[in-house]
Amino acid sequence: MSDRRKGIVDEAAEAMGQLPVPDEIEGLSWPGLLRTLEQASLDKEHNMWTWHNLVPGTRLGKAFAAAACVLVAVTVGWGAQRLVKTFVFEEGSTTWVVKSDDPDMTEDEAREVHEQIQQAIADGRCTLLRIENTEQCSVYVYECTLADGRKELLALNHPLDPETKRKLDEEMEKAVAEGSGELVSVTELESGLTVYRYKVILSDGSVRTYASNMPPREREEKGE
Amino acid sequence: MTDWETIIARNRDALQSTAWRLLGNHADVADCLQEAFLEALSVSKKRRIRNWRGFLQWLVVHRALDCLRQRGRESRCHGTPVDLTTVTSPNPGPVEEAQMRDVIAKLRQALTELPAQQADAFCLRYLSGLSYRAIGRELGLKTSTVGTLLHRSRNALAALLNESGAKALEVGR
Repeated sequence: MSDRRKGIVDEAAEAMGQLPVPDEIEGLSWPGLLRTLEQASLDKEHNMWTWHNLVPGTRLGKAFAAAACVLVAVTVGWGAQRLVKTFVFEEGSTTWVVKSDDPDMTEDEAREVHEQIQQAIADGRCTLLRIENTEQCSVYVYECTLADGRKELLALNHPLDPETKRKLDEEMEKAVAEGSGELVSVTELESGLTVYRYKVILSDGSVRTYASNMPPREREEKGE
Repeated sequence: MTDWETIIARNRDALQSTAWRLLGNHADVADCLQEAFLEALSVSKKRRIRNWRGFLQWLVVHRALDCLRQRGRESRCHGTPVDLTTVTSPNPGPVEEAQMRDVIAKLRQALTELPAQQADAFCLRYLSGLSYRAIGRELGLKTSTVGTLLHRSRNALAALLNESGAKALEVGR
């Protein structure tokens, strides 16, 4: 190999190594990822992932969010109905999960239902049936009327109304910043750090949790 | 249990740099880092991680290269990899910047064409700055084998970086 060709590799690697790196990666929250890892570290095997433990906005976060909410929805929303087929559709940074009790449903058919539900959302033909709360997660269960009159259930990890969603997200951010919420668990890490897990009930009655290294006593002394 | 706060504090900047330089756009970098940490979580539940820096760098490099290969399969390799609004080169002129971006795009493409172990070793050495010994530990190889692997990867990359790339570099100096 000639020196000139060797130089190509060095210079290309050097150029790549000199690329400026942004201070923040859009869609990635390091504090959010830390909460995810700490919570997941506390979990035993088979513990369910819940949406708020993952960084919202990334494809993986959305996928886990959707999957977790569907799991909860299957338990609390569809009752004994057995959903045997699952389809996952990626749209930008959003993941949609379609589950069906029809074992013969094809991907094309699932996509058609998915698109009809999207249209129903756009047309305002989805009605909130209830908010299902578990210990760590809330699922918004909507009934959507499709264009042909059929009704389908839609489970989301947030309210459909963007203004309400923004308000609730702000409430959660504020709760985390203030360290408010009900203490639900305490765990000692190997490093000696103690992780306290708090549950927050938002203004619409939905439940979210977060982890903190601040014990309740310190928070009380701070007047919170 | 694992002290994630310390691990993230010590490694986030370096990992973010590695992922950004390989991938060059926010969405892929966010996914790469998150997936790497979730894999780290999974592995850490099964065995003790002795060298978190090396392990995380390897995970990020491995994930980022997977993403680049996936881009190639989807024929998007030259379409979306670089966020041009945020990438600049140390050179002052727009021509040099364009040439530098071209060189980087070619290197990314070339890396996807190397055998996975060679690509991993090259990135861990020249982007992550790991020692031969640390690379060997992550890849499960002897230090001497890492040297051979890097030599092969450099030869293969030199062959893959074509003549137009060479001209661009020479003009861009």
